[in-house]
Amino acid sequence: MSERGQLSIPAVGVLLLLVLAGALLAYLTRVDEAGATAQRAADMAALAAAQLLADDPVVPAAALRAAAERAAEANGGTVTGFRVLHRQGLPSGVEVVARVTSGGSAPGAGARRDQVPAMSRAGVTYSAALDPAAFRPVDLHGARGRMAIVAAALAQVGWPYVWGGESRAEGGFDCSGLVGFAYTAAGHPLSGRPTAASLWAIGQRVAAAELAPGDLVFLGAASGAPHHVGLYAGQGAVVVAPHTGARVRVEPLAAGGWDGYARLAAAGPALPAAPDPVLDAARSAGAPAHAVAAELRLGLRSDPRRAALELAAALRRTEDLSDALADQLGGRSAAALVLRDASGPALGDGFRAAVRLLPRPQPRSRSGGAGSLAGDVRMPVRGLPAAAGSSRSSAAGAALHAGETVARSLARRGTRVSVQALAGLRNATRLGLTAVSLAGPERWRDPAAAAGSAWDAGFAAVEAAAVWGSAGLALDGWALLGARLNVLAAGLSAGVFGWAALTARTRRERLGDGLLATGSALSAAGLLTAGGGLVPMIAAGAVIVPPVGLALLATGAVVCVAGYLVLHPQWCRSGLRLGGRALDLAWRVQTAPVRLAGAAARAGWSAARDGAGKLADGVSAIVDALPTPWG
Amino acid sequence: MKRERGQASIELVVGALGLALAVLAVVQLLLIARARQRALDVADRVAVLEAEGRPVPDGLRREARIERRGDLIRVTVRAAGLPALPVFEVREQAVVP
Repeated sequence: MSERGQLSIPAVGVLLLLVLAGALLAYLTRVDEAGATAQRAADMAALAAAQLLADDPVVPAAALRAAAERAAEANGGTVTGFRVLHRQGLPSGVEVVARVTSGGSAPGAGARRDQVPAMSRAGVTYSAALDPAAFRPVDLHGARGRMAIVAAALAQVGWPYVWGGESRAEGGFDCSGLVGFAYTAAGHPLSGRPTAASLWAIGQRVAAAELAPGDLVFLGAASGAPHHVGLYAGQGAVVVAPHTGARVRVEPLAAGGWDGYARLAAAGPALPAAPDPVLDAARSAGAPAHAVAAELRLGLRSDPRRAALELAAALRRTEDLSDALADQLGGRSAAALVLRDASGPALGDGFRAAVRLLPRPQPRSRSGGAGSLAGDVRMPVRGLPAAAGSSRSSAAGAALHAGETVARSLARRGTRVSVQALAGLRNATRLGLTAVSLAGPERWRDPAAAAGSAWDAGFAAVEAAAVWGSAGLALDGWALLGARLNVLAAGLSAGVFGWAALTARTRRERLGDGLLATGSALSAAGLLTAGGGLVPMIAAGAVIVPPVGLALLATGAVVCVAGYLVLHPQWCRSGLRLGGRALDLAWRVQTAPVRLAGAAARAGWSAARDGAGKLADGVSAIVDALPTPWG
Repeated sequence: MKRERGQASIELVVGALGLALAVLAVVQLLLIARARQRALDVADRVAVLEAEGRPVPDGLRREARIERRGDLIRVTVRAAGLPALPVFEVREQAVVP
């Protein structure tokens, strides 16, 4: 009877542990799924907002947030944090924090509803390319008149001269083509395809001293049919497409040898124009005015003179305006946004935006979280729950938090390094357990061996789950040698424990040794499913342990653990006592506020009752002291 | 003594069978949990790829059945099952913006 009773203790202990482990696993799985759902909601929300930002770089933040909220809701989450990311003062992406509510119960912690947060960042990369077969498109943002004509002409600075055409496709962009383009872009189109001679013919003659921005200057006017034309830009400067092999440029009026000057009616009257610092800076530096104006509008530069000089210098290094802007601004996204603002809708498909999820920033310390939503969020690690809220007040919550902290610190060191470090640590620990079980102090041998078996069971089960459905786990090199040694050791153990079971004097020893022999045999059989390649000890090569073999290995290790538990029932009793104390402690900690409140209420009631009694006594004494008419 | 030995062997057999069944059940549950994790992961990755306008690699299509209906992406992963057990399928879905 006594032995039967003793046997039931480990059985109950194992059962309880299994139930507890199962409940904890189920809870962790639910929280982990909530973490994954929260991450997906955050990812989709960030991508939705980034897509909107890609379509319209100047969309208001409220519209971006609304798009993020819709996407998060569709994926089961709620947006609780949102901000637009900027680079060089321009929108470059969004950062979203989404939360999902996870419900469940954990052993020792009771029913809980946790808010599981996740953060995601999506970036937008802009790019722009100009059509090499057309003029640079210009958006004058509604400007009209003579200064707009000059600005349109200045936008072509650096563009190559090709004689006889109005576009690169037609084969050219010559002096009269530049004039025609500038007038058309500014909203004053000229009829037909203008030439220098035709422009001279329709123009009203003016003196050089009367020139106003937008007027034309001619070469060969004395013949009555000029062969070259330029556009007067004001301040004694002319924008001109000079000759084959040269690019559109700004040159001093006096340097061109111009001998005729005319004013087109299309430009309107030559009224005094308001000073335009952007146009002045672009004209004096020889830079495309529309791009300089766009840089100022977008806030990338504040000084027009400096912006124009930088852009002119960049254009001397590269002829493409997009490349020059990227060179000047230090980024293609910024260059694309400037080109889009400067060129307007005519840029068309030349403007593109790509949306990508960005790596999440490493969580900072609480004090370092300013300026980033990441500082307010505990990042969920895939495979580990991001428990929050009440979890900190419970034992399970503290364990989850500790695990998350360890995982986060490992992740901060880089996945590759942490995986290698973990593998090294794992192997060294397992080897240490084997060493202790073989040569350690007598009282530590069986605990070490049992811990090693539990270890093997866990890892074999994980590996089996990981390779299930595939050929199996490939072993070579040191892993192959280790597997061969394992087969040998497991075979020997099966024999030794089997013999011990047969010769055991007590039923407990027979049962325990029998389980150990069975477990060892199962482990050896599991490994040997890889084939005969595991039998020779020194041959090189590789073997594949199929998933079934790994499952057998795990089962054998579990049976070995059971054998050790049967041989050492005091472990189960100690474990039960420890578990009971832990549960008791968790219960006491969790109910402490209620008990404290109860004690406070009792003390308060007692004090109030005493006070009321004393008050009644005082009143009674006063009443007694009052004189009465009858005595 | 004979009676106790007989009872012990019955306990041993029943215990071993129960333990084996428990282990098999745990393994099956782990496989289903893993399939669910995989479905979550695949749904995430497919949704992100679709939202970024990138093609879904064949590798993902091989390990899961991926269907798209409008904005909805539905991913089905088959959980590896122990012999003699029905096939378990785990489904997950994501809404692409």
